[in-house]
Amino acid sequence: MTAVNDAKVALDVSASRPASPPRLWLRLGHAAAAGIVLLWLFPVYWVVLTSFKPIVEINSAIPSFVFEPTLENYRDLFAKFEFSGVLLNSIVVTVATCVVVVAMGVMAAYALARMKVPGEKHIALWILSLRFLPPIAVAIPFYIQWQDLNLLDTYPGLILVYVAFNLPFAIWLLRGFLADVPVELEEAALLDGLSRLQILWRVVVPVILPGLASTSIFVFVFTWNEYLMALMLTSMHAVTVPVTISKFVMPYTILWGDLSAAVVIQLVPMLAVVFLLQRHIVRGMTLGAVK
Amino acid sequence: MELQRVATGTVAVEWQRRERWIILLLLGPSLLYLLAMSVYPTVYSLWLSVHNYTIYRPDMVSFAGFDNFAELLDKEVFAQSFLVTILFSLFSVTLEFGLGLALAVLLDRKMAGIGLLRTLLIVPVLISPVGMGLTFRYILAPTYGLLTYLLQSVGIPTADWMASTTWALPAVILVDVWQWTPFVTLILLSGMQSVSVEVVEAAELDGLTEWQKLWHIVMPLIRPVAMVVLLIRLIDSIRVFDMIFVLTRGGPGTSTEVLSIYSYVTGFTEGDMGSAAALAWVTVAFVNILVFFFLRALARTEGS
Repeated sequence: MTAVNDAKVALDVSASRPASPPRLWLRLGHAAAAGIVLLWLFPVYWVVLTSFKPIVEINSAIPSFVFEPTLENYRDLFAKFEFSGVLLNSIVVTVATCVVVVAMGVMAAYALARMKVPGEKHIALWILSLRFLPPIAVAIPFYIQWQDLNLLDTYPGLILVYVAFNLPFAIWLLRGFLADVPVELEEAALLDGLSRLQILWRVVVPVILPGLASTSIFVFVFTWNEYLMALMLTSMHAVTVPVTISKFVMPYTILWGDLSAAVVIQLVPMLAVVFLLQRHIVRGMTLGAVK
Repeated sequence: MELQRVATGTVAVEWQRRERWIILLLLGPSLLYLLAMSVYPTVYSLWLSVHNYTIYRPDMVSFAGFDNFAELLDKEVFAQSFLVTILFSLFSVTLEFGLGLALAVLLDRKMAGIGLLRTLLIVPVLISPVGMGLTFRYILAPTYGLLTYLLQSVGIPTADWMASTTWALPAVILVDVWQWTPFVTLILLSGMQSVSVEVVEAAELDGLTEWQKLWHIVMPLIRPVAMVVLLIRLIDSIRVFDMIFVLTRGGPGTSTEVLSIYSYVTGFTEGDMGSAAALAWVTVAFVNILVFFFLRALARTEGS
């Protein structure tokens, strides 16, 4: 153990000495890295700041950084625009979509990853290809069909569509997570006399909980932010947060205060998620291509 | 992979029979659901594309043949929309990749707080395109926008960016770049981190400069990851809707009217669902052709 460590130290020392750039450059690099990231976050900072500004400050020609913060915009949002109902709509639709997608996804992914499915490769590729179908191509048929089935402006109307949009991605991602689980675990359980479904539920699911968590995050973020389908398929009762945010842009005015407050409220649950599970996120962003 | 080898003899036969049922039980619901929810709208949308169908008179449907497609090709708006989509995609993806790579190189170092910087970089990816678009609409606003103020205070002339046929497209590209560059950076970074320390150290011992290291060692190793991220961005930028819709609604005129917005306007504002479906199909075909060439180019370079 110590020998290995010593060797590593020796390697570090010998490696860093000849090629290491001058200290000044290194410092500049650090500063640039930090500076650019902070610059990139500036719009987010600005919208958070705006959400706490009194209206006079929001529409002033000279933007202010220092002001007396107020909760007026947030109060307005809930009192005048019934934002709590909208928030509830978004929460119900998003949570339901997550639950259904992850449940269906883990079952399908398990079959694809672990069992002898005829044409498995073709099925998997077909599922992946659905991720790239432009939503606008299927939006119109859904609109017309939902009209006939009285599903417009209802929770099930949105959830049915969101499950279809997220399931391919979820199956693909979960399949990758399952492939990483050593099969010996399941073999042992089988010898103990557990059935397939018992193995899936009692052995596999507990092991891939991190995978289930990160899959849910992606489904959550996508559904929570989705705009196009929500815009087409809802009008009053099932309106979601992104649609409401866009409605603050009115013909002759834009209600920046309420809008900013709504954007911030929309961002908060996702921020919580990020800081809890950031390690798993990159993998999901590439459909599992990066581990 | 196969649990089957554990079981033997008659048990094995029984096992296989049961396995088939379990596959059906596990995979069946998802497959049926996806088939229903993709094949049905696809076929329906194909059917629509060869019919005259307006949302205001759904009872009056007539067969149109390829009229919807022919009309598209005649329209100047269509050519314009196609061009806007290509320009948007090309500039967004190029800038995102270039900037994303530069930022990834900059962040691929050991320093205090680097973990926090990387975590913070996820925030722009998570904010909804609607939220991001409108935040920028505020920053770029003509009278009270922050950018307008800053530019004016250093003496640079400003414009009503979103109302200008010259500036609206660059502006929506800027917003897309702002939202998705961190996405590219994070993925490239994760690729860079899987490059083993030994390889980099060996390169350093050989006296390679930073540039040579990046170009000859790191880049070839992160190529697969880079291709995945390029493909995802390419496809998603062609399908873009939300961000542009809340920023400009495709305007002024048609200067930011990408294919998906054109299709939305045709179907839902003008009520011409037949033409909208035809348009959507042109978009799908376009995406598929691009992906095909992209993958073929990828396969070719990988073969060599």
